[in-house]
Amino acid sequence: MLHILRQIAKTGIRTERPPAADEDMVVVARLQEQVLRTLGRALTIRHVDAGSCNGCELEIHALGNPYYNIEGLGIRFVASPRHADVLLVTGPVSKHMAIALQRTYDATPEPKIVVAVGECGCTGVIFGEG
Amino acid sequence: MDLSKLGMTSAMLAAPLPARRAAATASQLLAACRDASKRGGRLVALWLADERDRERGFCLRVVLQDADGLVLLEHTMPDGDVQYPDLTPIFPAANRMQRAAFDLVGVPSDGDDQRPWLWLASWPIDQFPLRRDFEAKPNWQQGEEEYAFVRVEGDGVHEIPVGPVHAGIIEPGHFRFQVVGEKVLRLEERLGWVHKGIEKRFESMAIGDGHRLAGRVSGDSTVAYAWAYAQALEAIAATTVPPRAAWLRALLLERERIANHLGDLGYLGNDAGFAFGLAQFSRLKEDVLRTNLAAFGHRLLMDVIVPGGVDHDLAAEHRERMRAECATLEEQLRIVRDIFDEHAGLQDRFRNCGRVTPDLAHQLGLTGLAGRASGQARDLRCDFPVAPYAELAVRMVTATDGDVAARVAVRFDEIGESLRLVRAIVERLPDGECRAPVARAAAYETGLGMVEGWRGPVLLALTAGPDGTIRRCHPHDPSWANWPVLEHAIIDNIVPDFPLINKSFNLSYSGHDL
Repeated sequence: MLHILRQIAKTGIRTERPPAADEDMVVVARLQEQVLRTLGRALTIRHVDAGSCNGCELEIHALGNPYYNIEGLGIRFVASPRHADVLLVTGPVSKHMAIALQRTYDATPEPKIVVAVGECGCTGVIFGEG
Repeated sequence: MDLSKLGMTSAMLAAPLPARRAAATASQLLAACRDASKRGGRLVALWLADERDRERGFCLRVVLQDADGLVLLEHTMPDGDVQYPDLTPIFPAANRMQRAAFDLVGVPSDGDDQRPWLWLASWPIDQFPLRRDFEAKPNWQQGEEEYAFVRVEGDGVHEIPVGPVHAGIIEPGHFRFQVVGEKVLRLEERLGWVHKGIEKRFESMAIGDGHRLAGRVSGDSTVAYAWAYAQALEAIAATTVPPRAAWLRALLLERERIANHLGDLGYLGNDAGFAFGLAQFSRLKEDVLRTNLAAFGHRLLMDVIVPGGVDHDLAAEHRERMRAECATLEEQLRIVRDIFDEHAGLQDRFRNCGRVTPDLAHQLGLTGLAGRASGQARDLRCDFPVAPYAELAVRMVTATDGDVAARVAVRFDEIGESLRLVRAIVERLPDGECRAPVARAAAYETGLGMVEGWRGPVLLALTAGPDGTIRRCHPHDPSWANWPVLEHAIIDNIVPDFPLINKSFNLSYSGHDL
């Protein structure tokens, strides 16, 4: 136990300050206000892998590490779409995952936001469309 | 492997490790597999190719590995109505490969298990995407699929279906548990949800660009796949990689291994209820990824390896940073490993959990990291070292307990060895160019690449088409061999230990589903 406490004390707090909103984002500040008003100060995310190569999953996991400490910002990943405000979708949406993704979307209560992560989620890029 | 005593003639096959190819009749195929199995060889991969446009029917390709190297057996069938011999009685891992090959190319084995494997009713069951005359129709509707899971019956037996969407940030797949109380009697996996037609996509790409797609077969192994692709292409394009590039590739591969092992150790601690482990290891992993970004422009090292060499040289300042990082990591690992080893609660969860005995591992063909934790002493970096591994004399890490604790210990020791390699590479990195021009690959030539990724050996078979196209590319993840073994590892364990056991294997869904 002493070893653990010593290591925790020596490691210290590594969490970095979150970056300020991007200049481009200020333009949509009104939208942000609306989102904040609707969702309050906590955000819950359900991640759905819709055909990702698992690279994005590694990076989403990294958000939870002590440097980014995303839970410290009031953002939590949840196990059920029924508890989620946001669906975070990775991968080019493979045909095989389309129905599972649709069902997950349907199970998420309103109001809900879908965020596509990574190039594949946004455009399919190298995997192509269809 | 001596094929001549089976009456077969073999020829050299373009690959960076000893490899031969031979045409085989059905009985020769069976004889060669039996012979390889008897002498401790294993099935690496099995796939089909449609060669009807060249009047060669369908070709079954089987790669075996033994102490002499690789053998590619090619069994030609005139049309899709012919069956080829089921290899499952010799190599159990062949089962899913044969079923997947049918789903994609439409030639069945003569085995009993003809259930689909990658097919999930997204295209008509009589259409086969990897046939050359396949055309996808936009009006195909998603159908319903009734998969015949094997059920256990008896007093108090019940079934727990899990997935494909899991309650965490992980890839999709379905697990069907048959349990009594908490005890698992049987687990059956159903995969294929991340299938996105990677092999089909390769066929519409230029051969010089394929490494980018190969690097996205399984993102956690992007270096291993890109290197395997580069090896296969360089072998058929008679390209020699400059020494500096070869050393940098090994540096990238070892950094990929370190990052993934660190991540896994954190989650293994966490899955046993030890959040301290996750906090420590995810911090250490982040440090490694940040160094990757600074030195090579990408945290996961995607697209750094290119055919002919590497796309990014290592600057002197980053050599220094890596050297310092090795020292810090070694010290931190020593501290955290002591804590892991002395933590009774953690060891209680790790030991005897999800055990795969060396005998079972050998029978089922368990490979890579999980194989080494069950006494299967195979590591391409030691068995068939390519440059620069021959000069670095990699020390193979093995254990014999075959439980979660053994897979944890192998990870710790492999990080230690990889840190030694990183330090050696950074110190001895030869000067010179880090990329050579790649010659045009001759049409219809086949080359193999094989790299010991962090999870296990990644194989990639590449056949060139005319005019710089890809005719067929089959990337093969070690997860194909290890997924079926996970079903055995969980037997007689309790359901709540499944996440821990699963994590200790940490197999790829994307690399398997393609």
